[in-house]
Amino acid sequence: MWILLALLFAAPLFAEPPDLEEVACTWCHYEEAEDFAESVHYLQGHLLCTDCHGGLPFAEDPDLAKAPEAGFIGKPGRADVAEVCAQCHSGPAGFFAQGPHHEWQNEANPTCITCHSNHRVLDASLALMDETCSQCHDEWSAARDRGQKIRVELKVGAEHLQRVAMVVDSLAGFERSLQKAQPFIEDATAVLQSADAATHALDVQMIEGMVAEVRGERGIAGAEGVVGAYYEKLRMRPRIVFAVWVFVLVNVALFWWKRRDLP
Amino acid sequence: MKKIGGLLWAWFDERLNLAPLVAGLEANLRKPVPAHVNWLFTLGSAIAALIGLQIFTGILLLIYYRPGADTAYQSIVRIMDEVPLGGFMRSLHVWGADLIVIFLILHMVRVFVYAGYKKPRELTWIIGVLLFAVILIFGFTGYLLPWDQLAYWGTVVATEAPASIPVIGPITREFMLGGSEVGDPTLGRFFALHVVVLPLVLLKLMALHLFLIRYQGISSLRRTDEPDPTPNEIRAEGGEPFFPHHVLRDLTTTYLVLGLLVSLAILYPAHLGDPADPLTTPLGIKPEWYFLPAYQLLKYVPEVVGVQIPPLFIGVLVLLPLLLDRSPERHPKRRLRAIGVGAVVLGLIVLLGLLGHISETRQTIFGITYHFDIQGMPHGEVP
Repeated sequence: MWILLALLFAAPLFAEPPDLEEVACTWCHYEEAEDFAESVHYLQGHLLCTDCHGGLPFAEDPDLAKAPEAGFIGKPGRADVAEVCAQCHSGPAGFFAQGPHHEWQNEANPTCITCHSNHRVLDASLALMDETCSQCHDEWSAARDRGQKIRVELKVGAEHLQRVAMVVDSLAGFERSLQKAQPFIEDATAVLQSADAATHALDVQMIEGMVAEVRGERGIAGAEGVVGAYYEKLRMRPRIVFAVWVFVLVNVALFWWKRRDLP
Repeated sequence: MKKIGGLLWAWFDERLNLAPLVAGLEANLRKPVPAHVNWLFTLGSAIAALIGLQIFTGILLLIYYRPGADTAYQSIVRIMDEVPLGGFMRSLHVWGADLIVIFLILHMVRVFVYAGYKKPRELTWIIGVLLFAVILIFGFTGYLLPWDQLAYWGTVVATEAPASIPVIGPITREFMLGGSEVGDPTLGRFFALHVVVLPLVLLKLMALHLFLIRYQGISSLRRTDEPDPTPNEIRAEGGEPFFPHHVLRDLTTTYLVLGLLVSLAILYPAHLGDPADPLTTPLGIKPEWYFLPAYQLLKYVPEVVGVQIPPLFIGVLVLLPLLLDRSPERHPKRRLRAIGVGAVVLGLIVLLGLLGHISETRQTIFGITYHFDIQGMPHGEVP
């Protein structure tokens, strides 16, 4: 039963995305369709135009496809963008609302699509911060510095976690005790994922706090403790064996000496 | 202290008349061993020490082990992760089993070379062969107990072979497994055999084996149709008293073997794989190394024949002094034909074991990678 359910939920990950040529919107909005075809929303999420714009994707009649009764909202206004994105990305949207750009109704502030684009949405990465902050902020400005700090903090934390996870993965197959490091890695990964969402608040202290949690006793430090204990055990083994053989050979020498003195 | 000891001795001696018994034991211990007795004659006592340690570590494991398909694996995990020195005790037990088989084979080869099985010591040899069989069954039943993937599937493969014997095969298999496949009843049966039945049989056979060795003494190299040398003759030929001379040799070997065992257990701790999963067959299932010759043999001959060869081999060993080697010679130099036959048989067994070990693997030899097929034959691959 559980296997069937798991397969059911995992199915979209392995399935092909729907054919965009069958989506009626693309027959007129072909430029947007070209961009959308390369987007993570289409390729991985298997979304269609209507997931953001509303309407009926396969209705050939434009009036029917764009009927308000079908939920068609057209191009979301500046005030609606965050709400549309938040349908799926509530975490980042929540942090965005806490950050310096939270007044998105203000023309001077960016919205989600300023950084992530609208149709050709690519997989978000820390590199995006460098590319997009420069659209509005000077290279030596305080805002760029803040972005840079967040980016470096997260990058270093993620690389540290990746290194530890690789060590644990490579050794856990033949050393069972290292499986105890797995919960620490999982916890740290979860915190790091939430830190990715928290970048939208552009709060350096918050990110530093989260990365400290990733590195802490319940994260990387915990996992490193397990790995360290294993290596310590490896270092100790030859020493114990040496002591065992000293004991054995001293006794053997005693037996030899005793035997030599026998009549 | 000496006074208390003396008082206790007097108390027991007065009631049980121990003096003649102790004098008899002492005389037996002082009996000389023949001059040809060397370090190879200390393997038996090393095996006895290893068996003693197996019983000790086995009892410690038994405190925490919980037989049952749902509990066995978790109890082993607990032994390894939570019980102080639990992992080390398990490693001693696992490596101890391997060393017992190795030293048992060496011991039997030594007895064969020095013809210690010949008249009048046939019974000692037969009991020794039975001990060997019991040790192998110990290994077979103990292999399943951790209930991990290797244990489960190794037992599945090993118990499939006997089913090919006509008529009694399927019944035997079902009796062994407690059903049509390896499961909870199998684990229960193997556990009961491993911790109750086999130890009782082993201890009784060992006691009888040791009694016969002490009672009859160690065999000389004289022909069987000549009388055994008297203790005075042995002394005159350069023989030493069993105690303390030979016992000190025994102790030396035992210490070295136990040192080896502890080192192996520390440097290469016993492995525990994933829990048994009857729905997922892992790759490269092979039995314990001492069953590899029998496993490999099944690949070359029809299963119904191959499965009967190992028990027949044990039967041949039992019959060796009774029917197969009745020549009166004991000295290895005058038994070259028998030793040659023995060497060929042993060589074949080792070869089969090596082929079994290397089959279905890839090995790189002098820079060229070979794939060894199911029969152990190499097929060169482009480097």
